Amino acid sequence: MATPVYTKGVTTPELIRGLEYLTRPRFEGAVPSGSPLERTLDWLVNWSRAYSFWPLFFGLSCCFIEEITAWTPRFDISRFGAEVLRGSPRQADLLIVSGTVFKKIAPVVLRLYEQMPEPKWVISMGSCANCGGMYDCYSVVQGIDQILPVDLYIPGCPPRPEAVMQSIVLLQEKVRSERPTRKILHLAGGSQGTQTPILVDGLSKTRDSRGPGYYGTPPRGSEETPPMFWDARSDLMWTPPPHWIELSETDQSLAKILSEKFGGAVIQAAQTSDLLTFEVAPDRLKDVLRFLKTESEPKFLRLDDLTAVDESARREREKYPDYTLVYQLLSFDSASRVRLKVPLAGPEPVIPSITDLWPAADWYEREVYDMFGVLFAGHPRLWRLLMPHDWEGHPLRKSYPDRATDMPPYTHYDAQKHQPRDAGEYMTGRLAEDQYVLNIGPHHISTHGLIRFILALKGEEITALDTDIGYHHRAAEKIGERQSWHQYIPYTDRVDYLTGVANNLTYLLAVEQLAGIKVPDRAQFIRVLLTEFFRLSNHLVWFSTYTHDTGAMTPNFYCFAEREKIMDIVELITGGRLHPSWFRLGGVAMDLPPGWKELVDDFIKVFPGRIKEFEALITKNPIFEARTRDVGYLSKQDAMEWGVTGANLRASGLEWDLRKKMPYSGYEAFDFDIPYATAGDCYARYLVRVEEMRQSVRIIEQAANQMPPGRWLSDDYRYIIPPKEETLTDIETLIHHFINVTRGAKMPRGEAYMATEHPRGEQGVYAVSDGLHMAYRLRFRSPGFANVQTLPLMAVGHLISDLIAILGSIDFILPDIDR
Amino acid sequence: MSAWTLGIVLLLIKLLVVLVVLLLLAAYLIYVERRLLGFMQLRLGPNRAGPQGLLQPIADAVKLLTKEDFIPAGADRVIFLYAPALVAGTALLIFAVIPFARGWTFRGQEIPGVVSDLNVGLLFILALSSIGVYGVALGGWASNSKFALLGAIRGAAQMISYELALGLALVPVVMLARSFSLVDIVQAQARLPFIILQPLAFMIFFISAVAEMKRIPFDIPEAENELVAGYHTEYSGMRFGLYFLGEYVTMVTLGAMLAAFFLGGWRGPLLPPLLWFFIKVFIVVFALIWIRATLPRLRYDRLMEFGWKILIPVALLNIIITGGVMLALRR
Repeated sequence: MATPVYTKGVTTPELIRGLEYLTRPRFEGAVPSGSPLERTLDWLVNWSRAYSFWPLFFGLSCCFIEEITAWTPRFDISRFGAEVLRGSPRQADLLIVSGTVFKKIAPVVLRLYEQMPEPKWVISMGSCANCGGMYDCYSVVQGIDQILPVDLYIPGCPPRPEAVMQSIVLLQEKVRSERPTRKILHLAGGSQGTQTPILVDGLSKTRDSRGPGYYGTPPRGSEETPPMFWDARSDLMWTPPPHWIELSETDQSLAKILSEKFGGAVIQAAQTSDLLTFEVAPDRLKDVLRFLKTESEPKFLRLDDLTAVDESARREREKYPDYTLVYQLLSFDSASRVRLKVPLAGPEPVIPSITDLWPAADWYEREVYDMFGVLFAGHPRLWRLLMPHDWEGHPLRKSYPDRATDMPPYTHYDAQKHQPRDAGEYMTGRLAEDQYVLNIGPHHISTHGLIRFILALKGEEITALDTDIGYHHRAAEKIGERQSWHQYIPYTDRVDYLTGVANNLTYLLAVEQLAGIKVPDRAQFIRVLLTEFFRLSNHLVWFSTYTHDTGAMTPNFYCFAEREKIMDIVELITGGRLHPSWFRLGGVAMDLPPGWKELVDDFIKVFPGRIKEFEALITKNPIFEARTRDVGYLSKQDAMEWGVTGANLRASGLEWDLRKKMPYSGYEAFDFDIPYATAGDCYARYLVRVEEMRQSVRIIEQAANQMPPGRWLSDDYRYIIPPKEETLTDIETLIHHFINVTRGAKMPRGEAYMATEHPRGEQGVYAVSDGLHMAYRLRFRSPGFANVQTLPLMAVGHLISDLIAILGSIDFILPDIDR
Repeated sequence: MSAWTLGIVLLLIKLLVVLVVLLLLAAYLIYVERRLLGFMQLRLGPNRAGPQGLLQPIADAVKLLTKEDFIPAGADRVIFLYAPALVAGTALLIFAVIPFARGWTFRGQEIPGVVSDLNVGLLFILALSSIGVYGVALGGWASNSKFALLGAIRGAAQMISYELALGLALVPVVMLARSFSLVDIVQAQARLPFIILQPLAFMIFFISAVAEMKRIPFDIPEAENELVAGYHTEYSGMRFGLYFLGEYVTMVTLGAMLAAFFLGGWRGPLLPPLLWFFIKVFIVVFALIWIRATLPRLRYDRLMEFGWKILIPVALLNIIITGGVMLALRR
């Protein structure tokens, strides 16, 4: 039968035949059989099930945001009767595995699946769940189908909400092909639920990135098929030295004081690209840190970051120690930072812990131990932080494989074996007679992702709290050491999947600082415009989830309806939604498209009124106030010392915003206020964020109205990817384009740290280059990591309900904490 | 056919009709709530299963009935299996004493517009709603899960506390009607519905009843953001469906109770009594859905505070004032 063409004048029988053709069964086993009664019952049960998929409230990663968008006004999955999200797997019919399946979470996913009663169906959503996607890294399972049977795959990274709707329609079709009556009556035969097998790598599936059919054929350029290129060809190219900066007077005087006080133990770096840097002898480290925190002028109150670099793969190996520990401090008085580098020798070096000086060093030191195997003497509990407790090896060591495809495949058996650490172990010695332990997470509605809280409870009062993170560890830092500088941009979007290009910005600023790339004004403005749009979008999602945490269900839908309008603007400008990956080294990917201004203007006109509406529903609501006022208090001093940033810091009474205090990307040109509050509780954090939305609208308005003309991309073609049109007229540009796209631009040897006022707090990127086409070490200083570490300060002594309110008020997101 | 057999047959038919209508009403209430919530949230709600999604409750029911009936390891099997029936059962039984129409005459037989005109109907209602607490408490306890247990404890504490306020709010109604029978109470509102005479008692009763039903802002025992699904976390299939259904039957009976106690029952001008009854029930139900779409959830300890420190004293005060006024008017 020919495919019908829908034109005017089509007769009804033709239309019916056409519809029959379009809706023909695509699944096998649809041939009706059995007695008429059985067939009728089959039909009835299948029809009912097809209109009553109750999905498990389950999400792993970025995809979940697009999945849940399908519930909201523009898409509205409820039309299929599928909007009944169930928190308990016992009541769910459908598991939509939305996002990256981490090795640490895989056992939990399997358990949830097993807890669902028959019949059940599984949809694998997004490239990561389908096959690992762009995360071919040590911590990610390369496809959920290796541990669970899957009915349907939704392609995309992330798939759009429309794709989720389509998957429901396809699953309905699949269900209609089942024969459930015999199963229900416990008779032989029949079929219901997922019938597909679990796939086994190498037998029933291949992880070969070239696609099927190549199994057993080694890739070209490997040891088996020469020529094999051992060295990066970018080694042979020349680059100028990095961009050096002049130190400020405060920095110079501090350097002088330190060298007078500590002599040869503290050596100032001769040149620096970003901030005052010293090399400190390991034995004097604690003295220097104590001096900087308590005595020096200005005082460095915040431990900004603590990380390490494995120096064993350096091109000029003899110039470097085995490991370098990097301590970075920040002074609120002078708005300046200082970096202390500590050289360490030996395969498993030991250094004294600074947890007594900065309690916030706890997690940082555990992370360095976990990732590098550096030991900290005197640390109260040097457990692994990000990797599972029974993991072997230290992933950020240069000798550790970065790809999952270089490791044995993860199997169903692994998911059964590697269970998370028992909650009791966390509470050893902290549990009194009449208390009990409760796990919240790693998968729970209010954890907003994969994080696990272990509570010691007396009744419902929390007496002790511990946090287990790393369930969302996507190896972003390790991947930075293999992708070229440009290729890495898409990975930054996914470091915080709600804030898209805001992550691009932090990364690019660091690299541009290192290489001294000048960004034209127009590009700066476009960057600010989009970053603020994503700040709004993020705060809208926060508003909706936070009010949902406190039990209000409707703001969710209102906020997402507005967010879709922002997504429309983002889509018009960048072509993407969640992960536009649209900023480039030296500017942005393209100029603004025609029509952008009208859309932005419309939005600015409408949106302030919407904020008013949201506030009318929540701000003065006595129940909401009762839930959030005087709950989760965080003092200003604690907030400063623990490295708490963003709205959380401002709600504790400090007027601190990097956009004003250490301006970047042209923010000094904009007129806006820093909202802050002094109460330090959940309600204060709520008020600050709501006001931030208004300020963002102001910035957007200014950026749109004052958008300067000119180029949107730097002309420093040594480092950036030139516009395609220019390559067609100019051979030099063509060469640069070819080199920078294929091999990747080579950055000067050096290092740079840049931080931005990210929607969630201060996000920093510490980029270390060894003069190659990719980073030697790429470190994310993430706001959530520091913010969530303070949770025991806020939550102990409160009730379970308060914990939920506090979690939402921190506004964290897991890929940002675990990276 | 003797009058006696005819009476029995008519009674059985009435019972059947009431039961079926009540169950259908509860099932369709779920549909109505989903549609209404959808409209309030800029969505459409279920509209694919049948015309305008009207077959949605049937799809859900068949789905739940054919789902695996799961009992967790370590659960107290007997209690786990029967606890949900307690919730749905008591909710259904309450309706037995609620007058829903003036009554009819068939071949000389009186058919009263109520299943059973108990002279202690009001006490019967309070007793049954107390038994309903067991369904929640035992179900959560028998599940052998911490989240379910926490939900059960919250549920028991909340329902027992609010039962007091609920009962006290009805005392002035009894005083005014001088009877425990719901038929008499409706009769007593021939001139004025009690909502006008007793607005305070109405408010207290309404708030306590929402708490009894465990609906937002008092859905603390099943607070999904905190306790996953609360006391019914471990329930699957139709047993979970029974909890679900019980909740909606309770919504209907609450609407019916409010109608009987405060809104004048089936009384109303122009329209037939039965229709008036349904209109009043639906107004209450609509209010409940609207509240759910609007408010956040209270915290457990604040809820208890509100019940014990505000509702109960105010209800007591209301009784004293009512008594005083009645005494004064008599002289």
